[in-house]
Amino acid sequence: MLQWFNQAGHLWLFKYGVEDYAPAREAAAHCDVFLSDDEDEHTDNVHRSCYNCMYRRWQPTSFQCHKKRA
Amino acid sequence: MKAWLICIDDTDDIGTKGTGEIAEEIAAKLAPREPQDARPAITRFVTRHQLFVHPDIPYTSHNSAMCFQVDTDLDFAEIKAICITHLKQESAPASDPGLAILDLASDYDVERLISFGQQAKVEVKTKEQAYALAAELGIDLSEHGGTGQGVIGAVAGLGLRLSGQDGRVKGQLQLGQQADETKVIEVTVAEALALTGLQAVISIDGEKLANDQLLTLKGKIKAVFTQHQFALLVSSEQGLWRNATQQQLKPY
Repeated sequence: MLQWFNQAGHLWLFKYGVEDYAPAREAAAHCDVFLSDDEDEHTDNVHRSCYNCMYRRWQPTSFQCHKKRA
Repeated sequence: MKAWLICIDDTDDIGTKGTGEIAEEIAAKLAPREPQDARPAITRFVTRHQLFVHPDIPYTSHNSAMCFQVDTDLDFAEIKAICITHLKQESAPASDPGLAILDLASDYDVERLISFGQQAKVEVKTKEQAYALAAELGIDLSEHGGTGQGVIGAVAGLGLRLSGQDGRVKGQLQLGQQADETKVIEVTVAEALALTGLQAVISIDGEKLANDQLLTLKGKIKAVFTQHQFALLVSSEQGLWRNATQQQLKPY
């Protein structure tokens, strides 16, 4: 997890911003709770990507991971 | 038959039915498709409008509103009752749903409404501002649970739809590729428009393609609302017009 995220309180903040697709796909590939969001909310052509995950909450420059809610 | 523009916001939570799906369901209840219709009226397409992403805004995950038009003989009270019943039934318990209903034949200041929508994409708006504008413009605005924060996006979504320059169309277009997303389809612009009911094919640079131009389409094929038209968004790649990627659709 620390490879792709910084811990911010009880949440995780993605290190690579909103348009760095390779690490978002890598992180999702290693995640055991990835859950696809509604297709209309996808922003990555590769399905299994944190950018397409229901547990991501967009921030102005990145996203928070809410996987602890899973 | 009257035309109404309806927008909902903040109805979902992680793991629950999306706001776009709820919007489609309401549209279907308000204007059921006649059996002989090949597809619903194009104006009924649900458009997704991205709003401001900011720590001070309590959205669930992406802060987007969903808007659609219905043409119906139902009166206002019936329309609102159907919307509210469905919202209460389908919205997530932790959500803060808002509902905005606009009579498109009414005398309202469209520029002010568009301006509010555009501002809501770049700054934090308040419920008070949303209610004040709705009252001034004759928009019916109501909240249906939680904090009711969704009223802001509901009004903003109306304005953005009316701007004619904002929003992705919910869902994917079917051009015969649905069985195999890796399949490449070659059709002319005219054929694509006839198959989908869309009004134009427009490039990511804003160029409107001629009817005889050839498109090379693959995977998810999605439309946007731009230049006041429901359009298939394409980009030029090695001399071929290809459907836009998710990344290219993101700004809409």
